[in-house]
Amino acid sequence: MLDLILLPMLAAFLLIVVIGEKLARSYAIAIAGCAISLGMATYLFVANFNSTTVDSFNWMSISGSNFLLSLTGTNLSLGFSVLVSFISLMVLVFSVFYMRGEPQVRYYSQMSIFIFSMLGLVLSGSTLLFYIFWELVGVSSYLLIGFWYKKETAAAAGKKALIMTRIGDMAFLAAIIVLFLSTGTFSISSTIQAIPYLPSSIVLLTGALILIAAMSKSAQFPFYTWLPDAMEGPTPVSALLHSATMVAAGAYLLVVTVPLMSAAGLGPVIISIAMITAFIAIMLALHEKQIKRILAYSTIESLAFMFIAVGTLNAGGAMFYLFSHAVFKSLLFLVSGVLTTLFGVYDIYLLRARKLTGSWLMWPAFIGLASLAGLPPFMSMFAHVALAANFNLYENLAFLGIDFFTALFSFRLFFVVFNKGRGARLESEMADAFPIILLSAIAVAGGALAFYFNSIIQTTLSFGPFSLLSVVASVAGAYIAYALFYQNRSTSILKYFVGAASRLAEHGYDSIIKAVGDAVVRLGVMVSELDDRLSRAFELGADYSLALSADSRPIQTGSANSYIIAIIIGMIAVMAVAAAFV
Amino acid sequence: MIQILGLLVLPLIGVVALLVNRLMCLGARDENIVLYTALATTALLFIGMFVGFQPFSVMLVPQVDFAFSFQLNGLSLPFMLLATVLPILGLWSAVKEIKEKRNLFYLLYMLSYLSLIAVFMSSNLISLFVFWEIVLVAFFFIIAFWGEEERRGRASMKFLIFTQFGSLTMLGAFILMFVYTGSFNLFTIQSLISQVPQTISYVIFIFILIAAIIKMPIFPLHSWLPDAHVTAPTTGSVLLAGVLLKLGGYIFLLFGVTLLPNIAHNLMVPLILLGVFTVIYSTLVASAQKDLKRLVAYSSIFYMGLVFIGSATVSNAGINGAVLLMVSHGFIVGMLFVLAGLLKEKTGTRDITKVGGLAEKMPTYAMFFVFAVLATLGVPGLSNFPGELLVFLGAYSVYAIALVSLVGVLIATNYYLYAVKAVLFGALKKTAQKFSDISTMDAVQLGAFSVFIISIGILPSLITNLVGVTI
Repeated sequence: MLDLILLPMLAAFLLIVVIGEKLARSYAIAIAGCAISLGMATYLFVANFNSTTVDSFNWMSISGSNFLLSLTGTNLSLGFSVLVSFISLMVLVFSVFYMRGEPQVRYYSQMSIFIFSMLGLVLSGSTLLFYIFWELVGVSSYLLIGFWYKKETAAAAGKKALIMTRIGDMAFLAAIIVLFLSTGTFSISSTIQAIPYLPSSIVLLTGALILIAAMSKSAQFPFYTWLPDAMEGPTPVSALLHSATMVAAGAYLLVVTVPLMSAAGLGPVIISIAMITAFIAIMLALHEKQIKRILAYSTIESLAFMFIAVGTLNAGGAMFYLFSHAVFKSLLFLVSGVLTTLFGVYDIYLLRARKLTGSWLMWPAFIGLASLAGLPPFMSMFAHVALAANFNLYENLAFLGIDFFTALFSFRLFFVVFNKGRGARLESEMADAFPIILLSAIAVAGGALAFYFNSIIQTTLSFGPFSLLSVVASVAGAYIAYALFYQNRSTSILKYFVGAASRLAEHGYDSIIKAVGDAVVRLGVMVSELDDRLSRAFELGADYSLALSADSRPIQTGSANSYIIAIIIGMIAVMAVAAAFV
Repeated sequence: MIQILGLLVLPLIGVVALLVNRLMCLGARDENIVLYTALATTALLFIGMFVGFQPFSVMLVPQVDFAFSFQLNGLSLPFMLLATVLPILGLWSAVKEIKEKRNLFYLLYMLSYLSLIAVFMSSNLISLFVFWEIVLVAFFFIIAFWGEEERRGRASMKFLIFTQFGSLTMLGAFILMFVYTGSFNLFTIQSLISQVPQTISYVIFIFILIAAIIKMPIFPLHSWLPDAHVTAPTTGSVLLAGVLLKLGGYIFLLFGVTLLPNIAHNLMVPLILLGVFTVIYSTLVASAQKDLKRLVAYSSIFYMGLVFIGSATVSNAGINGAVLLMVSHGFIVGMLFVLAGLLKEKTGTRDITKVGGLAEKMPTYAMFFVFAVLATLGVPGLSNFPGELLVFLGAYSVYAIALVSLVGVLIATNYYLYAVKAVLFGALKKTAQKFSDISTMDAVQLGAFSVFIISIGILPSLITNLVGVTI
């Protein structure tokens, strides 16, 4: 398994150290590395089906305790690594089209490092190794989001993403340390087995810390603001980071630690946080005009879905939704990437003016957005059903509302961009058409996978009345979007409804975060002035001692007379003191 | 087996060669003499790590037990690695920067090279103290003669007075040890330390603690460090932060934590709290710095704060973490100071608010800068991470509140990423149009730092296997 992970890293190494910016077709190296990884992951998945393989390495030993790093190949981890390397490959192929004329080596090496980190994270069998790759994913996404560093906004977005996710990283590190000292092992499976024997305070503490880690990585409330800003990165980066990989790592962490969450009783907390996040994301998505930011908000919402599933202890549902989301979200980002490269605009109302209806991209866009809305017969509909397996009545009812609004904002995007104007013809080439068509095909037909997913992780597909109702809610949302945005009925009610909430969530909340950051810096300035004063105090002390010695110099007169007098006075004083004590 | 004295003879040959070169006007390049003798010493050290070292001892004044005796103790090797390798890595900066009194500079450089190695392998406390003092004096002159002109007088005096005060308390501790055990030999003292009365042990521990707090430095006796760093030439800063600060950690571990573990254990909570306070304090101060060198200097205090916490836990994980972090920090902070020096060299300023967008003109520089910052932030795979992990592990195992220092890591993330963004990213400032990227030699120098940072990051056991002390 190690070679599977290391291949993209090898590609990055070749690109940076050996090749440099000279080679024009450096994408070939990155694509080759990723494709071989995909092949190996698929082979291992098939060959080791239903068996667990472990590669272990002793990182260091400190007085008897071993720091074991291990990779574990299970159906789940190998299946996920197939997904990661497949989506990565699609995105890399698309990048050939999108990143033409950009610094190739820097882009492809950073992407390869990212893919390496994500594959490592997925296959990690020890908490320590999981954390190591978790941080590497964060760092390489920092580099990728800030890829166009000359843009102030891109540089700021990368920094924001890393700082926000690092809050979670530190929580995660603390959790690992606490778990290691309580269980004596870094192995994930042994840790999970030890949970029943741990004191409940430790379980609650580590559960909460890991939840914070997952929330910051998966951009859940209150950490979500970095994700929309991260859209400053190149679109293929968004397609990779914000579909199958980086943000999904948070949900994956929760899936892996479901027993811990369950033992700590954090299910209801996770559900409430995710519901709040979903609500905020819907409001913001309805209000937003930039196509990539709408997709970003929809990603936040989809991640909230996975969190809700984990909150109901339905790891399989979360995982199947993750797979389905990875496919349709990367598809949507690729479509938006084509549109924005061709026309250079991100605003959906400006895209409407390009008369895109009838162009070939309308179909992939429809497939992606219908998947987002959970409409049948797409793969995503099955994922919605799997997601809802453990829902109680209230959660089901809340989800009907969520389904309605999700359909509303996704079809708003569709009907605004693909409006009444027709006739644009879009050029296409292999590099952009191939990944889009392949991903669309999977998004359409992948539902069949739902019936096999049970062998990867326990998944329940139970079609009930609420499955039907949620489809009805989605269709209703789509119809309202059609009426409001295609037929241009009055949208004032919607605007009123959405405006206030999104202003609060976007500007109000973001300014709070900024204020916290500013407060830290201001505190820093204050402490630094204090430090200068401390430093000057020492210097002043030195100066005074010099002055004192200068002042005392006249005492040294050199005349024996005054010395004798001084000695006599001194002796009297000593005797007086002695007499006083005796 | 290799005679351990070889590690001192080779640098001594270098010193003599430099003197001969000066007196006889041979005209050989001084930096080459330094380079070759230092490389030879390093090679000898690496061979010795595999085949072992033979101790050396010669008694000079039997009445006071003053001997030149050199023998490895459980802490020597990681520090000797730093002391032999870092001066080589920093040498290229000196070649570019030192223009006047070159021969004298390299003489002092070689002398402190020899003395630093000698400090780490001395098993007689008097000889340790002698070499310790030589290092201080040599660095006083390096700051006073080759520092930045406006501030060098004051900064060098401040450095000398602070650290000399620490030396004196350390000497006091040594004398007390001699009075109560009758020996200046480290190993004899270790075996007889139980005979020392409790109160005297406390005094010894406090004296060593003061010396360590000044040298590392830890709040509130740290104010010599930013001034010394900002003033010193780049090479001076590299050695100052890379090796000299580690002298503090070394004696604290050797004469404090491992020699008097019971007292260290009794004082554990206040010491850890002092470390945590230093961590938060120094990161907050660093957040307000605009001079890149000052920022790196304050963040050095932050890492030494973590080292202090790790040492104060009196646990195996904490001590191993402290040693690992010191070695790692030596390479990383050295690299950061070289980068700060290059910023000054290329742009004429170290003020991070006055430059911007350099990544466009200086891509190689940018790559190394980002790398060094990520390394210093403890990104896994690079050398700071395993050390931090062990320190936090040790800290949580004895005193859970110490995990508050994780907040320091977050603040550090903030100001380092701010520095990266301010220096490298954004639009290129107009004044920066003619800047050129760093030269191949600069890249080789930075690459050499990177190799050590990556190797230790991936295989921390390279260093932890060298640590031979257990509690």
